[in-house]
Amino acid sequence: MKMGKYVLNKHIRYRKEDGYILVCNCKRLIDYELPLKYFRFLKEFKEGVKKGDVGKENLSVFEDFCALDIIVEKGEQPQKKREDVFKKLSYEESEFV
Amino acid sequence: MYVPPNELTGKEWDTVFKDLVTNNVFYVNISGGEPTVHPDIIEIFDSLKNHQLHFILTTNGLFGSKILSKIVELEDLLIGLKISLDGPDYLSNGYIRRDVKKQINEQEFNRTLKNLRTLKENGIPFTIATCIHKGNINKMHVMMNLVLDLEPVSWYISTISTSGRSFDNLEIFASDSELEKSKWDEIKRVCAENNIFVNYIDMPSASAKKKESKFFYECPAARSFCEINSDGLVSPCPLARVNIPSKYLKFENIRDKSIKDIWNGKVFKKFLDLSSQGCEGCEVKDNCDRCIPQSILWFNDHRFPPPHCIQNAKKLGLKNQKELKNLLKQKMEELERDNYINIK
Repeated sequence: MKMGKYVLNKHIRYRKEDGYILVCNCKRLIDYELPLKYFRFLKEFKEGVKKGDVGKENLSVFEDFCALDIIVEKGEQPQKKREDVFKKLSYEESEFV
Repeated sequence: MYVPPNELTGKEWDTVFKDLVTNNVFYVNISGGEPTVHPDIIEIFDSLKNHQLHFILTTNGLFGSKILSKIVELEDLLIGLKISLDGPDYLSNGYIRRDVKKQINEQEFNRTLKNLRTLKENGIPFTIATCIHKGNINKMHVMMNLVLDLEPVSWYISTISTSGRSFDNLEIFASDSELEKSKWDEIKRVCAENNIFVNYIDMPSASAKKKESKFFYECPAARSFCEINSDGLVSPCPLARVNIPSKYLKFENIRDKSIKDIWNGKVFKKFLDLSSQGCEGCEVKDNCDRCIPQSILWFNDHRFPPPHCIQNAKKLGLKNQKELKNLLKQKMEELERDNYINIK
């Protein structure tokens, strides 16, 4: 783990849904659901968060964010992947229309 | 160039995109018709960039160098690029993709190929979309070789949907059952060996697998997805816009209301209500988001089960199975799609 500031991956968007936070990696069309209690923590990444400043209650979530590429160290770019994003769009499969 | 009346202008799309981003919409799928012939397409692309709105683009690949450069410029926001290519040569590709004079045009085929090769050289991932019809159904293996050469991320193959304009051109329809199942399987296998994912859409014969579980619809329309048509009309999905008459649902326009108000409005609520009313006797109706547009398309009545459910009527426990099957057979004959679905 590096020691710089972490910010949201530039492809990450999120919003509150009914009972949870929906986090989307818009480049790879991957969705994650997060408990609402982490909304404020997510917002902190706009300014940048140092791992050392993360409280005990958020530490495991911080590490998950790193592992899932939801956050990246400031200045770093997420790695490109060759994958079929259309497969992830449920409406593309138009069920024998 | 002819621009259909009442289409949203580039400036209006900018207002729409702003509204979408304000309301936390994550991304859009720009398709058509052919979106790249919109007179303000560059302005539309720039608007996506200004609003940092991720997008998917579905196109015929006939665009010129200015649009191609813009696509490369916007790669960071580009989620996926789907390009139509129907055949391995200009005749099969142009069979249903005519030029503005309704002619099969060799230059247009060459231009699409050139753009695909340029995208490949620039490392922009793309997907090839092929629609099967009478003009290409027997050239699928030659087409596969071209696809292997172009190295898309994926290859989507579909049939022509029996709705909208296709009603006037039923003679061009080809069923996937016109090619042996083993050939479809081989295409999928060879492409997979070359890291190309093949997806058969609306092709029950090609994609058939023995399923133990009971089929039911899990539809994202009006739940996590909706369509904004080029004239601003907002509907749960394209099929709903095309097939549901206004006596059922009168869809609203993004020019008049915010996406938030339409999404939470009474029309979308009614659509959800209709689609959650399961079919009589169905054992999985509590889980099913029934496809209302299909029921209306085939039977002019939202209460009828869609064709695929009728095919599985016994497994699902539907009532009046014999009557439903006879009615569907009759409709398939009427629509000249008697090979559409296999009903015993």
